[in-house]
Amino acid sequence: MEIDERLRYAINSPPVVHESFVDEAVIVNLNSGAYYSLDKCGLAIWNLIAAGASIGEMVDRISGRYTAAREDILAAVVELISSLRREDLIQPAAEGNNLGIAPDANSNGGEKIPFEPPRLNKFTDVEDLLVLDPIHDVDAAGWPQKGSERPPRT
Amino acid sequence: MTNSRAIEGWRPTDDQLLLLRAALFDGDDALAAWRAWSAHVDIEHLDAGSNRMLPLLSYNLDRLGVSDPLSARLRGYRRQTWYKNQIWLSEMARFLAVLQGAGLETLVLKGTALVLLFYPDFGLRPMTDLDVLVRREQACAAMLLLAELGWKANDDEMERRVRSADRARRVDSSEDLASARMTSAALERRVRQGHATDFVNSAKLQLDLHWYVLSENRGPDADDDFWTDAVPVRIGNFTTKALSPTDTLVHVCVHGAKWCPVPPMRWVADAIMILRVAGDRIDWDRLVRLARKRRLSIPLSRTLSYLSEEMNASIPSAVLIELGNIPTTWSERMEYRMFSRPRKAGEDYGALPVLWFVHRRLDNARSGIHSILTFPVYLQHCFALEEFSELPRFIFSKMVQRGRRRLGWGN
Repeated sequence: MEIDERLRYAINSPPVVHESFVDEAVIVNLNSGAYYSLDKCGLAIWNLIAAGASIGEMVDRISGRYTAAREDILAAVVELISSLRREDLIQPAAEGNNLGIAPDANSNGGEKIPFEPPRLNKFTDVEDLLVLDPIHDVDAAGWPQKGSERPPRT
Repeated sequence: MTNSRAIEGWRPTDDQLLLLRAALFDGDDALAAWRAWSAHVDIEHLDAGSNRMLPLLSYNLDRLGVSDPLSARLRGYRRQTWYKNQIWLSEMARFLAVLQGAGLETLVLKGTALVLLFYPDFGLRPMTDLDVLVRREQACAAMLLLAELGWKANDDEMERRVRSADRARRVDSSEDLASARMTSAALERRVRQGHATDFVNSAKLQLDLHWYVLSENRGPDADDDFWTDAVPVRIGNFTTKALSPTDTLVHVCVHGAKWCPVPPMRWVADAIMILRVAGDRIDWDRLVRLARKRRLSIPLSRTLSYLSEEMNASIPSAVLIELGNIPTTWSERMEYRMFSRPRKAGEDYGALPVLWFVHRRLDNARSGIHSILTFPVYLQHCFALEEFSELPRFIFSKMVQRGRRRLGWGN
């Protein structure tokens, strides 16, 4: 399938809100309350989408940071964009929405790192997300990953 | 420190102060505080006040490049705080739009305003409820609208009054209109006795509806100065109001200078954030004027001195001197002592002392004797009693109710 690398997308905001937390992008659709997260190169792609980069620009930028064939990176970017669109988190950008991405300030110090296709993590149980104790009831990765059952606290 | 805390229960403990410094200081000062705090504190067994500071601690440690086995869990707490605040504020925007659509003016207070205006992101300050101020004369209408939207008052007595006033409002026979007037009067009575009340909705969202900003200052035009200086604030696509930075600082400090079962140390972080973001916009002359006019110089002087001494906050020394020189009454000193000292669980002063202190402020320049003589009339007004002669019986019935509650005999 021919992919138009000139395509750009925009965050579907509102109702989508997002924030970067050091090494992770967290995204919420306020209509459904669903919570999503992206790490590693998923975070980089999300930030590039938010900055108005085209698919081609995203692939070039990721290729500069990770060791993988360009077509593998392109396939991974397109797959992630499909997932984000299925969840209504992004939409095609209006014509002329080229925000112009800044030069790459984070190219891993010039050294490329192994590429792992990004994965969109999704959590949908809003009540569970709201009441889960973020200190006592989570695993080492922290909220929203639940820890194993512990005996009741005294 | 220990002796000060026995008198002023709002003062953070030594450990809490270390945590505040680790979360708010910069560079080596923050790192030293973090090392000292983390060396002997177990985050699994923190007091509730310290627990609420962990997202801000996580932010500061990340900012300073600290890597620790706890980092991932602390960051998770930040993510959850961000998520909760986003969900709640979005719900709040919808609710405020309904209030505004009904012609009610709104202003967000406390956590809501602080998160929106002074914290770097939504993930740093956990909130347990959302605080909204309406004009005093619109308080009953706001409560009835809340009832219509399915919100329930947490206070059973208030809930009964709101529900019955809501029912009565819908009737149109002359007999029922008389009943409607009575129930509306009952609601008005509660409004006159308090400054805010809690509501909860089906999604367990807590809302604290205020008709006065501070419990200390009530009366027909008590908050005109706050409303006049209010600033616009956006929640998503909705615009409402918040107190100006100066007035927010006053609110945070006065509210923080009270003992609370959950250690109220968060006020320190709130005040530091206000000073950090809006330090050059703080109108110190206005703050001193408000302290004088509202008779709040004691809590403001004590808390601002604390911020200056323990948190290196840049507060002009002339302001601290001026606040310290404002003459105070016996009643103000007594009020400060009563509400800042630590109390036992369930130890509650009831409405009368609070109303006395409010009345004493309203009586302003008058003598204590004048305040004592006019207090019964003020109580008649607060309890919305038509005849003065009803007052002794009313107070007696309230005392019996209070005694029954204390003994666990229900309402």
